[in-house]
Amino acid sequence: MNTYRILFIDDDEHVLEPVTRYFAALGHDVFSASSGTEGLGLFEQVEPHVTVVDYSMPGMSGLDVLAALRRKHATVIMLTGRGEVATAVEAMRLGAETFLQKPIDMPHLAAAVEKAAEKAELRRHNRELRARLRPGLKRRLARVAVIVVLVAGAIGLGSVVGGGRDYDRPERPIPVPLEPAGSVQ
Amino acid sequence: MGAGRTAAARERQVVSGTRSETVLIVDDDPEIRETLARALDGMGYEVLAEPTGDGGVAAYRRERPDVVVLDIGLPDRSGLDVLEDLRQDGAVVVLLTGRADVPTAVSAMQRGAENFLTKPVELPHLAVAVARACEKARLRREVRRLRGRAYKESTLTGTLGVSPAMQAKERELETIAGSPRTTVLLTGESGTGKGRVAQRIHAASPRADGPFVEINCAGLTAPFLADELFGHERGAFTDARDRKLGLLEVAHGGTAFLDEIGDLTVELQPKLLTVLESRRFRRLGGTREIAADVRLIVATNHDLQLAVEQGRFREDLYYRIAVSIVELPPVRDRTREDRLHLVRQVLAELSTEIPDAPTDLDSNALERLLAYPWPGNVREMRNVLERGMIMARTASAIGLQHLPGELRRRATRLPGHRFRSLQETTRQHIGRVLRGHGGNRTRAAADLGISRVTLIKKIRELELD
Repeated sequence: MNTYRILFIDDDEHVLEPVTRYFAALGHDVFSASSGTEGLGLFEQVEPHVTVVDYSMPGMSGLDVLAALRRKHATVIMLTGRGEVATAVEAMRLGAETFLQKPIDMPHLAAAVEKAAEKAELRRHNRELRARLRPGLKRRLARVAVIVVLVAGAIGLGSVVGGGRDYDRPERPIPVPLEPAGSVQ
Repeated sequence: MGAGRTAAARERQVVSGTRSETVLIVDDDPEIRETLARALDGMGYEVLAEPTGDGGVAAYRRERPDVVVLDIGLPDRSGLDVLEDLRQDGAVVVLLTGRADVPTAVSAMQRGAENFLTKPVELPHLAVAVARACEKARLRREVRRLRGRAYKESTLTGTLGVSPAMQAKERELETIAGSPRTTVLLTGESGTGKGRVAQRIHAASPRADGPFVEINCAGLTAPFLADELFGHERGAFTDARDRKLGLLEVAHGGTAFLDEIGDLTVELQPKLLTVLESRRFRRLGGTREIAADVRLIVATNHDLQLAVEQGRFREDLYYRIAVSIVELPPVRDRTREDRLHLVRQVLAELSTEIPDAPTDLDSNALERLLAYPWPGNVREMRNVLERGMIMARTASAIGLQHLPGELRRRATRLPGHRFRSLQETTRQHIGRVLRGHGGNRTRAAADLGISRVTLIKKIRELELD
């Protein structure tokens, strides 16, 4: 089995403790935070493959955390209370991969994390390949250089073709306001 | 219902220019099938529906939908069994289970299902689950495509040479590599690097992450080769104590390279034809058909068309494998710049294997290497250069003295750095042609493109008699 970095964000120590132990035993690198703010800070540091977020937390709500994480292209699984399917579905619509209802069935969470991590890896590969396939800096500089030369050439040519004949050009009359500004009769 | 699509979805597709995603529903309950199909159709998916596991697997193979929504309790086969088949074909599967079935569903996820929904299905939940699963299918597809492009950019350029003709051939290979199911026939003398090109095609293809397996059809008896290709079930014959996977199975998702296909025995030819036509095969002694998602690259140094005319090679099989033919020219027919490129390439490769040997050639040695006709092609060149590098280990460059006899002897005939005169060259060439035709002047004249009378005159002039 692959090992992943997993971040759990939950205010309930009774959830955090066994979950951390279970996933560490599976060989994953596990990180935990007891609030949304703390979790987001930790996310920046450890760049986990998958982040598991509790839906109902005091302070920053689970949905707020989810939204913040999704802006950072995180892969997220939500934990909700029993019977909160509607809110959980809403979380999925906002970008969560899936949700689990508490009490947590550990094998189920492990399988869901595995699936989510696969997707995170696909996202990462996708990003890296796109970056690799973007035309190189040299080629981009060359393209800019060609444009600069063309523009400079056009300006130069323009001054040759149109230059030196200024005496033909009618002088544009300087516009004079009919009434001095501010003068009101 | 079937493949129906709403007008709105079609419109959306036209506007956005993207293909709409396809979902296959496999459920034996007609009511559920109907409800789910209508819902997904309304969301803009193309929908297919099948009532049985076997029908579902067949539909998957036919239509390659993005996501399969699979009921775990089917009447004809166990849902987990169907899941296994679908997963082998690379499907992204969302399961439907009853409430009591959650442990089964979890174990199904461990075996590769993407997610599961419990019945009764809530349509909003179905919508997001299918959307997330489609996202995964799309990511996978994209990564495969991008990886194909990345490999192409890094591996095929410079494989064959630098002349316009060889570069055109490289571009042809790139196109072929990009279509992952196209069978390729590589022809060329022995040693022209067919195996290497096959590897490069694999590496530059979307299958690059899959396995590359190679088998030489010459030198193996028919039963042995069949066993290698198709594998066998336990007890298929006396020695078959265990099940053995054939190479076609091992190559699943990748590429199988069959070298010396011209030597494939007549009794195996129809079997290979079946594999190419149906993309399926059976292990020896087996009853189950196995899907073979494999690209075949075959190679030969024989004239296959001649073999077809002589009845040694089945015509229908020939047309099946001769979809894209790429001919690798012998080294002597390549341009000087291509041969130079090849020498450098081989030296660069060898330098990683023989680290402390020189990779430079002195000008005499280089000229000899470029002028030599290389009957054994790239393989011979590799051997010569490998030997040269080892012999020249203490020297700063590989010189004539480090090359084997047949290259040196010709060299000693050359006087120092002076170029040969035209007359000398003419004399040597006519002599060679005459010897080649056993002294027959009529045939030699025909080869040289001059009349017999002119040839006789030249023989006298050049004192060749």
